[in-house]
Amino acid sequence: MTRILVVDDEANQRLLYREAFERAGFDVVEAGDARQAVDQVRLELPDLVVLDINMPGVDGLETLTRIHDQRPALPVVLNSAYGGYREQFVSWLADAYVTKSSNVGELIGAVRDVLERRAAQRRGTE
Amino acid sequence: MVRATDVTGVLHAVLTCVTAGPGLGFNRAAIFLADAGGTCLRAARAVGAGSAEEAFETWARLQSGPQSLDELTRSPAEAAAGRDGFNALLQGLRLSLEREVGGNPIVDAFWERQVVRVRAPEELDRLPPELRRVFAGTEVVCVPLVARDRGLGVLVADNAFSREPIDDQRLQLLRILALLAGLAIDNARISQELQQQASELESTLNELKAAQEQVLHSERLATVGAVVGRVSHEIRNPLTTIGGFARALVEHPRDPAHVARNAAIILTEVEKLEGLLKEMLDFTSPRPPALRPADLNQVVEALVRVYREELGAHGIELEVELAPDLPRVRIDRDQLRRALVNLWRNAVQAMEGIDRAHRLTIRTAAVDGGVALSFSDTGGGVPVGLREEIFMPFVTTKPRGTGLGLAVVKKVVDDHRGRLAIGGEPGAGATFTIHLPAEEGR
Repeated sequence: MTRILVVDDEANQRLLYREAFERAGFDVVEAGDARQAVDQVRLELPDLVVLDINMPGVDGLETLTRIHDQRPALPVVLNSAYGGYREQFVSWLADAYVTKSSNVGELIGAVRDVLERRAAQRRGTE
Repeated sequence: MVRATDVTGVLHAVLTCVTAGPGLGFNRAAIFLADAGGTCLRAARAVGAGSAEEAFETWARLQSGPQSLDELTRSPAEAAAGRDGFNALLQGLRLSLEREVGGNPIVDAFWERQVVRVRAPEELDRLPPELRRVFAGTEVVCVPLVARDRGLGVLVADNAFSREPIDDQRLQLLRILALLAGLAIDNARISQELQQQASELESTLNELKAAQEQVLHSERLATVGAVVGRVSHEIRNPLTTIGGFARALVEHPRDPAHVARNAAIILTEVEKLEGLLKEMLDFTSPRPPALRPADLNQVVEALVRVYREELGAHGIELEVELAPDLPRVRIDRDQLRRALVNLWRNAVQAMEGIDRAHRLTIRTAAVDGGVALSFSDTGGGVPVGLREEIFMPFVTTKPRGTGLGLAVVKKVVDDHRGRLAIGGEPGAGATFTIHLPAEEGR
């Protein structure tokens, strides 16, 4: 089963995403801050990270680079309440950028796209 | 009346006085003015008939109804009707100001600053050819126009049509008039320059005003943009949760355990939104403070009772040092309490996410003329460059929050005629100190 790491400081949002992803057939692990996120990447070996880019403490972007340092090939989908930075972030280290909305389906769709793209790339290199 | 600031008007008035019957009664008169570079004299204005026929017509008309000097000087356009021939003859004429022995008598009058009379026919030969025709067979007087010891030009008059000799009395009057005319022309020029300078200044001022408006407008837009960005972020987070769980309720209605839980979550998030709304309204429409004498230590103790437990959950130690001999202060308890809650929250949030042992220290002390109340945290501190900005609304260094917390603190302290200071080592923590005047000091 594909394992998703959901990183968000809001417990209620983590719960929302956990349930939606589980219903969609994913295995879900959670992290409430940057340090936990880096630990979970190492311990739980997720296949993809859904990352809120605006968390207290270490900013989401720094978390992104730390995850990237640890596992450069791990796909990351940014999920943010800010709507303005799409281009900037996607061109960076992340694979996709989703503006938070009550329709979790958009986020799940973006996650599936990224996973399929990665799978196609792997098939191409084999 | 002629406006003293209008050079053309002044010239016309002077010439009318020289030529009109109720004035000096010369047949024709012209004013030549030196140009700015002092290289030539330009025919500025002339009054009088262009020919003998025109002169007789005019005299006939004037005899049919007397006109006062005031009426004649009033309007150059009206009064000059029918008396404009001389002006047309001289229009555009320029006389070189270069001096030669036995040269142009008009130029001589300018340089010598003395009246020059041209009587004998042979003296007319000294005039340039275009003027020789105009003044042929007549006696001409050239009177210098001077002001502030500077030559302005020359007034020229004659009796070309009546051939009346110019007597000494007339000439004396003409010299007095020329003296006054010089001053009037000079004044008019100065006023005109001043007016021009004033209008230049005014247009510069208008440009500056427009530029300033533009800057303010873009600043307002930038501020509005920052506010909208910040607020929409703060709204979107709870809204996402509310909408997400509401959607789950709609899609999976037959799950009683989840229905109750989802409703509770939705309620919590709605309360967050209401809190946000209250914070924004508190900031934008505060009521004036109702100041009453109080013991600041009691206010701090009440605050500590309510919020102490919250600190434990964050692993933050609390230290409270209250000075026993604190003078009483005049405060609005509700407003000051709100400011202190904001300082408390600010301190807790500043320490969140920084991995070390944390402590919040609250102190009161009697200081010169009042009391000081400080909140010290062990968070990241406030960079020196941000220490003024941080009290501005919607400015925050935190990823969450409206940026209104410290702006509210500042507003409340200002309303209490207090002072708010910020200290501490950047990187090691921040200290916010509120100074309030003692009750006696009011």
